[in-house]
Amino acid sequence: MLIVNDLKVEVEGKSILKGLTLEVGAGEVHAIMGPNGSGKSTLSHVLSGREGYEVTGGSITLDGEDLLALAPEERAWKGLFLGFQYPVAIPGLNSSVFMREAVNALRRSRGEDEYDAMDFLAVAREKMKLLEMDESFMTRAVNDGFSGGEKKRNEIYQMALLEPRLAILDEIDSGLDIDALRIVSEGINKLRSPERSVIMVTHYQRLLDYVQPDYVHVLSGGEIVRSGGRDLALELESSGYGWLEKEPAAV
Amino acid sequence: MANSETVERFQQQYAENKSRLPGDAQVRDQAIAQLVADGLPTRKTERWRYTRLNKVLKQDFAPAQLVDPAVERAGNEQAKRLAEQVAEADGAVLVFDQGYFRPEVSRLDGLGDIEFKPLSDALAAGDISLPTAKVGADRAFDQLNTALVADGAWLNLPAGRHRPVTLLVLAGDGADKSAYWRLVVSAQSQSEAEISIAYAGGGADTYHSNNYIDVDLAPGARLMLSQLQRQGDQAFHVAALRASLARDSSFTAHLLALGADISRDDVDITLADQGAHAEVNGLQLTNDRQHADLHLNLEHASPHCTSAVSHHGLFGGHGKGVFNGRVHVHPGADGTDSQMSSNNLLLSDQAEINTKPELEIYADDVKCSHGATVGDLNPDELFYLRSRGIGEAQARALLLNAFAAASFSSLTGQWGQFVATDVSKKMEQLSHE
Repeated sequence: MLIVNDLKVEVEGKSILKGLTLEVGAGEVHAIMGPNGSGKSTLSHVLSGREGYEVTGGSITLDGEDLLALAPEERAWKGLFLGFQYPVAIPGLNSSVFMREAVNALRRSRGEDEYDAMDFLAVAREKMKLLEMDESFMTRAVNDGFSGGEKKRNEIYQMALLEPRLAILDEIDSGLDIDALRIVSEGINKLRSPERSVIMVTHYQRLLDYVQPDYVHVLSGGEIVRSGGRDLALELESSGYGWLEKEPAAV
Repeated sequence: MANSETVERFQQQYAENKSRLPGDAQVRDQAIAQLVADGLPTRKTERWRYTRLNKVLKQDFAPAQLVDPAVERAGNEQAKRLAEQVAEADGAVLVFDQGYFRPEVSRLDGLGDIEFKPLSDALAAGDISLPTAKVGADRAFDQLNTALVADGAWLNLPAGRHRPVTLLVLAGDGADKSAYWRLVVSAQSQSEAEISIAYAGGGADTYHSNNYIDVDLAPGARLMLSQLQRQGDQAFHVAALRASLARDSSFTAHLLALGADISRDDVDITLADQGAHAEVNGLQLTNDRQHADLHLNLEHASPHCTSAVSHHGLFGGHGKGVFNGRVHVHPGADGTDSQMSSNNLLLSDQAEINTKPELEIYADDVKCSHGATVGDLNPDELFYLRSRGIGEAQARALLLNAFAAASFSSLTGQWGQFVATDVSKKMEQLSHE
């Protein structure tokens, strides 16, 4: 479904991704782990179309279509979703207005009728239950004054509403206490399906106790240096990332 | 001085109208004498540096007279829409035309135990008197108001929570007229109220709307006062707001400038005793060749008072904005906490903003912050919306609306909706230029 082939990316002339290759099939959950500065967030941003990154080589295709040729909104219409590491607060923009616009934009792109306020409310309520969210959330401004946990829950709530085929969750676990991590993880697990693929980018293996991945990849120095099953994450937990520096060529 | 002819004209107008003006004539005499002594603002008047009045002062605006109550309003869409609001608003609605109270279209039954009198009655009965305005050419329009104002409102708010009061201040039904209006609010100890004012005027007429609001908050009083300015395209609008805050009182002001050719708001707030809190939210939306000016002066005269000023400006076309926010912390006003921000978006190359927060601190133990930004939309916010499938143009529109909405999101009920509708209409004009 998603094929990243020999991807090379620069930021302000500095090489960040140096030939990254990754293949994600339908329904698979992949974890991408790695130390700070390994290029994890760059990968998330390039996949979702954020400005400021120059792709100098390689390709990204989603079901054979060139993803790099598409604007961020067009990628969303194709079923791509990015869960942000640092969701931005937008004072003055009502959460339910925002999400109704987003859901309707996707529906329009598929040639479906838009939801009116009532239709949307019904759908939104159902998804909010999934994330144990209070209804007062609907009337608040987007992420404005939200706690760290609320922001991340909001990301998964948006994922639930937008029903992507490929969700990229960029350090969705960072800054969460155990309770918030449980709610967020349960939300992700409920959204797993044979048609929906997930890429979880994380620094810590803790998240993988809750959301069990099919594959684990280690990203270091802009390349995937090891891939394996869930065992690899456990191994990383005991040994840390230190070994990467000692044997950078290990694959 | 260059504008002495204009001053003479105002002097003449005062002489002609003096006999019909209510209340003590002495203060009015003083005001016109002060105007003659100080003159009108020129390009050399510091507080009017960025707002030029040459064009405006050439015009001969005669003070509006009390017109026939049965005056036909057909064709004046704004007035019609406002009149509809009379039926919809929560609480009392007071309507003023050309500065004069219009009981026949007002609704007083929502006032509860708020005491209301038309200003003319309150002045005639001696309930209140016109205070002497500050001297100086920069205060010329205050002097004019004091000299020539014939009507307006006096609201006396007793202790307890009150239903909202909406005041519709209509001007500009006749071209080349000046409408003078004044609101005096006495918020008694432990009173809690919301006062909303909509200024509106007709179509393409050239007119002058001169308004003065005087608020006095007794200990523990809480007042939210919002002003929505949507004057006609050729109007010259000035509005002064003076507020004095006693111990533990709280005052929130919203100043939303959408209309007029040239508009000027002068806000003077004095935090006179401990524990007082003042909040000011200003929004300026200009396009075409509109010019909006907000000058604000906050006097932290006592210890342990807090203030928060937030200004938002959105300028399209050849629209201009001026923001000057001064915070003055007096000696001994320890424990002062004051925040001020001015955030501006320029939507065209010709649009302009002059923004200047000023801090003058003469006390030791204070917490003051200020900041100003001028720029375009935040790219992180834009990307966030686009990553959710919202197209770029729509994402921009949503963010522009959100930017503006931040300054009035605390307004609720019918009034809040009314403001939101008006702002989003204006936003459409702005983003399509």
